[in-house]
Amino acid sequence: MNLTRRNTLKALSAGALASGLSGFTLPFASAQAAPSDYKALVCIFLFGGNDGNNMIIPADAAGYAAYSGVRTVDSGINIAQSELLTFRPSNRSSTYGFHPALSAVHPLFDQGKLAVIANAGPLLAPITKAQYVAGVNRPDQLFSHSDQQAQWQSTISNQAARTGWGGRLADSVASMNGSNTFPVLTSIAGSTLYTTGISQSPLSIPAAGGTFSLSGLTGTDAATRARAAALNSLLLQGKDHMLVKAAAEQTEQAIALSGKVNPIITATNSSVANLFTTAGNSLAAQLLQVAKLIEARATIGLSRQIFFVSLGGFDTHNNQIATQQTLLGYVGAAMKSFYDATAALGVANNVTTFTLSDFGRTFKPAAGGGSDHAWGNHHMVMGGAVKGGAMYGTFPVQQLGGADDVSTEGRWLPTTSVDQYAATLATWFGVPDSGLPLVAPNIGAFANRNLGFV
Amino acid sequence: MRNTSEPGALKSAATRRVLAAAVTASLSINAARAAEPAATIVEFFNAPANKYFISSNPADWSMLDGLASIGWKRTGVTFSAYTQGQDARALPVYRFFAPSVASHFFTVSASERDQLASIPGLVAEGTTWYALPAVGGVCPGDSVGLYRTFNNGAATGNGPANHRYFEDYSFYQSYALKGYALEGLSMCLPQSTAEKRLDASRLLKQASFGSSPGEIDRVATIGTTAWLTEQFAATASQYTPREYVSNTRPDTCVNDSTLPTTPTSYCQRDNYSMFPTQLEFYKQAITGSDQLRQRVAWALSQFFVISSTDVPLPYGMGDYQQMLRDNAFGNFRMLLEKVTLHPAMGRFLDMANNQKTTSTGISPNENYGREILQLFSNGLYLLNDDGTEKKGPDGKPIETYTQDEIKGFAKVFTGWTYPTRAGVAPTARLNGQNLSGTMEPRETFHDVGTKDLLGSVVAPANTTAYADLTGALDNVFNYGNVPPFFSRFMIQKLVTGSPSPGYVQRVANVFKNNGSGIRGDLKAVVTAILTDVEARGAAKFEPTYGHLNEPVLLVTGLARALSAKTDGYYFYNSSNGLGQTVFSAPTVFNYYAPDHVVSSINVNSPEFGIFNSTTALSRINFANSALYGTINISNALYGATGTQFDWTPFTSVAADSNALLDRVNEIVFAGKLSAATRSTMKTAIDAVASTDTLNRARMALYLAVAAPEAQIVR
Repeated sequence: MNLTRRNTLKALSAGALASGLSGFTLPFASAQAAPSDYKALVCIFLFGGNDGNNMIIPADAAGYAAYSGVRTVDSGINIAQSELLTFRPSNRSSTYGFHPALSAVHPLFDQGKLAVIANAGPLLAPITKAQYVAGVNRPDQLFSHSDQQAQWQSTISNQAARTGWGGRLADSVASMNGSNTFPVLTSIAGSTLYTTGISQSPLSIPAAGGTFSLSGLTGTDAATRARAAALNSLLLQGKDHMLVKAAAEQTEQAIALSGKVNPIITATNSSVANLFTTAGNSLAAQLLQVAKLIEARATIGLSRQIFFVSLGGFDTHNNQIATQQTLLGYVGAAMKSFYDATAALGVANNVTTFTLSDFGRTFKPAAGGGSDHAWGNHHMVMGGAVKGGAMYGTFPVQQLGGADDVSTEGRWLPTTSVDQYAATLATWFGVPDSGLPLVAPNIGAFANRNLGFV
Repeated sequence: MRNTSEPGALKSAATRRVLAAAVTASLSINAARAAEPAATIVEFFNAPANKYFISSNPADWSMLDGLASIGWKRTGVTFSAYTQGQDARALPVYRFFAPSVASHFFTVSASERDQLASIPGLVAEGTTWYALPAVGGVCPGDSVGLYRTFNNGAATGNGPANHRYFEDYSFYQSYALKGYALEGLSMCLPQSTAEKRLDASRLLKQASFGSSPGEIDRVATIGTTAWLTEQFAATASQYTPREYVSNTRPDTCVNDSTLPTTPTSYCQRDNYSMFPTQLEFYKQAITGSDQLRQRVAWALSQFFVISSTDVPLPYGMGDYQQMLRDNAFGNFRMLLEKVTLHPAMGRFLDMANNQKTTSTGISPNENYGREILQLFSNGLYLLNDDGTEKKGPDGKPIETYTQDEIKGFAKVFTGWTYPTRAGVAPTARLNGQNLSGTMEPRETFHDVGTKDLLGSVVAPANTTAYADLTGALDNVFNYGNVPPFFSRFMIQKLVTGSPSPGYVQRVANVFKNNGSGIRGDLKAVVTAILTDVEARGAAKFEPTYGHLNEPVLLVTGLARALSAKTDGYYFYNSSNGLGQTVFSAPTVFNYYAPDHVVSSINVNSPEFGIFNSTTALSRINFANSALYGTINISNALYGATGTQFDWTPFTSVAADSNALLDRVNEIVFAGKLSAATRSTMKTAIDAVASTDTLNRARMALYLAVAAPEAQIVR
């Protein structure tokens, strides 16, 4: 009880040491000078577990034959070879295909603005199938939505996490924002573990169309002025109860920031709004808010910002073909609009966008025209700074019960860890090598701390 | 400070006013009640000395109030007690003083008094208030326990030896963590009428959709037990049964806004959106008389979650939610079966038309098999009966099941299809979607192999779909985790987000055995939760007690505080944007996780999972529009009656801002309005002319709903 944030920090530090994590250092000891550049990271979380097996499909003859041999036409989750949006990674000899719904971002791959990360997932250390079978180095509660979401968002997969890697990355770079107290993190998708830091707490704003202000308090009559004054005083009271204190501080933060944020998100003269089609596409409505905040970066005055947006519905146990077609259509369109917005604002090279999701899905089809919960999954990274047109990580052998399957249903053993994914993005963001363990406490277990995709 | 017996003890002005109102309200109904306790015990704390002191003597209060400069301060904790002659059962409480540590001790036991009197260095200071002795370690039903802790400063380094006394059992228990010895029940104290009314208000926040002036009177008059009995017997409110509609909306089914609105004007809205079910939810939650049943069903709907994301048709959603209501006071095992075989759940988690492994290599769908274990019964890790996790030899929690068992349950839940629609001849094939009724078995699609169940149980081969299903549900129901897992969830929903292990254990024990050998009796579980010492009785001061008022309860709470009559439309409409759209959780994982921890304070408090800077503002804006806005009768709703508030309980006292605050404190804060917040609110209320009683009431309620103190139900 009575843990202040500072105490929480101490507790976390002690816990990390106790659990044998090496190289855990605090970033506050080495505050960094304010950089002259602006950088933003944008996390797109695909809630439910996006089926990477149908997002990135081997397109050459042998690869596609292996795919369609399991995901048969009869299974209801087959994508025809002729529909694939093919691409040839510059660093591979094989051809792959994007899901046909990703037509909007497909050209970005060949333009070098989009990269694919193959078969990534939560890991404690590099792991072999034999180790998995023997119960060695298994992350907790594999295949569970809530746990795997938390592991992707925190990088921590052997205990309950209280902070996310976005939050800890924000803690790490907070000093680069100087004395500016505007939150490093902004979520347009509500509260999440990803955006929870040790000392940084996120701003949460509504998607496009929403407002972020208190209503009814602008009158100048005595009663309204008294009401507004009382409201401000109330936020400071009753804090001896810890839950009241938490509610009060959250409300206080919201009211304090609304004056700056609301004019930005409700402005009707944004130069990038016309790039987005937000009707029916909630991801686009969220990314439009991000674009507006980036457009107003001079007003906000931060050098480093992290954004969180999300789209749900990817838990395609049934009717997967239609559902994923719709959802990836939203993803592709929203990402392309957002890339174009950053280009229009002249910050394409300063903004890197990436996907996370609960887990991959079983390669083997399940009754109902869907697939079940699995492990390793493919992801996309987008931006001018991204070394695109390439695939990073090892693509799994798509064989049921094969070398990369930890079951008999095609649950791929990841060959790239969330820690490495996070550390690579953190390095681009300006975190020195010595600071990576705060962002990804388990990074020491992996020889390669930089996957090189950005 | 020797003679502290004071028959005419004064109460604070605020307490007197609440008391006067309460007595007026209830005296005529129940004239034979026990005497109103005439003494108040006030607790003081001296921070520099780390020392607590309690006294019922106003002379002591004045003296300590005058010693603020050396650290004496009221803690805000008070207890009620009898004075001499008020109650025939009451005995005098003796006070002793230990000069060596400058600390006091109180006992109601004459034999203990005699022992203490013989100890050199203890000074007998005579009698103080009158209390009831415990009988067989239990307080008489009309009293609450006063529990004693001991801070052995010499042993713990916590400062000088000192006792602290508690009526709040959760708070008492939490002192073990501070190194205090828990010394148990010291004596039993009566509750004042005002305290009982505040407890009634708290009960109504825990067990209904919010406290209303009329219902507080009712509970205060008949008592908690009788109120629960009345609620258990109340007829269940009904969601209007709706006809089956096809999954695809016919092009002819649209919304026609031509006035006047007819019953069929809004075909699309009324058949293909959650609108009618959400409307009825708000209408019935705010105005229904089966409050407890509805509130428990609302909690159950967040345990056995289905969502409009996959069940967007109101005929199916309404049928499922009615099923939860109808079984809310039944048995958990029966409820689990009804949930499992409901076609809306079958649609949501893919058990409908799930089938054994096909010749083309399609596996049984794992979705329901996984989530019934993780979310609807046992949870991820093995639990002790007090809800804490068991630990393995490596010190880590132990996973409840493996992927093999998930596959086993996936096979169990094969061979079920949507109910055959009325007027359609049954076939042996799998039916198309029909979201109301009960799913039907189709044996040819059922996996007849053996299946791994929980606890190394293997279900036999070659049984029917129904025999397999009931065997598996028995296996799930009888597995050890269900009592603490479900009990803790329900305590969190109704009372407090981080209940003590003892509280969970007491309720789990009732889940295991209702006293008649029955496991899973939900009526007994609900009763145990709401009548527990950590839910009832004394005011609660433990600093993590209670839970954030989730958005739906914020909305219904304000409506009920104003005794609203409503067709539901306004609340359906104005609750958008608060982060909790009824029956539309993002996934089966509900709107927020039961294990959500507020990172800034490191406290488990689930509802904070949807409390952020966006919703913090929208909650206050809801209060603004509901209290200051104009609520029109919708012309898009056939038979609309609009929403009407009864402001009278507030406006009738609003000319006196203190009286208005007393009423708001009782109804909105259940007594937890702090002096500082009260003072802030009073200044604002006084800025409105005393004759403008409506705007005074608006001001008071707006600030009450907006105040951080009122966000937490406790």
